Amino acid sequence: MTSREKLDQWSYFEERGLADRFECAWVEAPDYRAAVTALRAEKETLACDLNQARRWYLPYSEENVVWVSEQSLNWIKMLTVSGSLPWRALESLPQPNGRAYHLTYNDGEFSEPVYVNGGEWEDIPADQWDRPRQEGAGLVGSSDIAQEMNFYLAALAYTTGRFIDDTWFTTPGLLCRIPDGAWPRE
Amino acid sequence: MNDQWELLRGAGLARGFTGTWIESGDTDAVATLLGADLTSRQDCDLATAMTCYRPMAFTERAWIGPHADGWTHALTISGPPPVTTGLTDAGLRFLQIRTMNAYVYDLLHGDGTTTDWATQRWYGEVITEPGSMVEPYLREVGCPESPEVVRSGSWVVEPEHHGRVCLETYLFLTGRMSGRFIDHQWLSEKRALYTIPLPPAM
Repeated sequence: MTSREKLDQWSYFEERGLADRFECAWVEAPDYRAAVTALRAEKETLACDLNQARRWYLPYSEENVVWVSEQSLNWIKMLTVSGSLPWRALESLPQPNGRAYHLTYNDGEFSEPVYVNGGEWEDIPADQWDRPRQEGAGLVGSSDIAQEMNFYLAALAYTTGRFIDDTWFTTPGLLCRIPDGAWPRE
Repeated sequence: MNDQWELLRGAGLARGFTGTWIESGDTDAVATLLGADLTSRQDCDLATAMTCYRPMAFTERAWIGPHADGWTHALTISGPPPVTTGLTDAGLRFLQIRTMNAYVYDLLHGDGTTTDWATQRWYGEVITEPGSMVEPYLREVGCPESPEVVRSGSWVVEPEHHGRVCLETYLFLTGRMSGRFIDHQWLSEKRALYTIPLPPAM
């Protein structure tokens, strides 16, 4: 496991059965606990790492359950375990003038990552793809989808300063349930 | 044999059912292997246990008791399916059925050494590896009756009740292998309701 290609970040989700459906947000914010409150999900939480939280993985469910944890200094990560992440929340979660990235893969279909910068939805600056392209991140992986995901995950890893590896799944975090109606559906 | 799923639905388990059949007559030992907090034990009937019913809640609870001679049953009342590695580590054979909403998961079975699934195929068919412990019982099920085919235009689409047919097969396997089917008596017995704390990180 230690000799694995660093750019094959998607394989960590595949081997844990977390690759049927994937939704993750990387948010510029200093404190993951405060982010859970800002997500209006502080009432029902469970302190755990992602290896523990994945027992609650339900790719297709109407209950929204998210695992929130620190990604790196000033960045947090939010991985959807069940249901989906209310995208409107992404506008208000980052610190003032902060950024949020959102990446999804859904049963054979994936979307290019989207991006909020200082409260506004914007195109991701093109230079963020330079390094993953130079390094061939989009050529690494077990399938077309894996290669596509590895390309975007590499860009996000360089932006946030941390790659996904086994320690990503053992970082302390909070599993939290977002109550129905906490956020508008549209 | 009564309609197994109809009985479980009648008990209020339609939205999510996780049952684990374990080949051991030592109910307390099974509770320990499943990680139960033994001090949380509350002896009660199923109706009382069901007041805590909440599939996939963050708090894990199971209603555990003697099932048949040499077998214990653990019914998940809330939380995700129990971690079964402790059963395999102790060399115990087990079967686990899980449903969530309309979805029927493949049956998980452990032979005391490894675990495997009895997987679902087209038209209500269940298949298993040759030599697996459920194979002889699966042979009794035979070929699934050709269920009503749902047609949409000229396309044949998946039978609506495919999951249900497989679920009945799974409940037949657990009943035959453990020597006891679900019935009204089963549903009215008293068992021990436990809280299962979050197992340590693996």
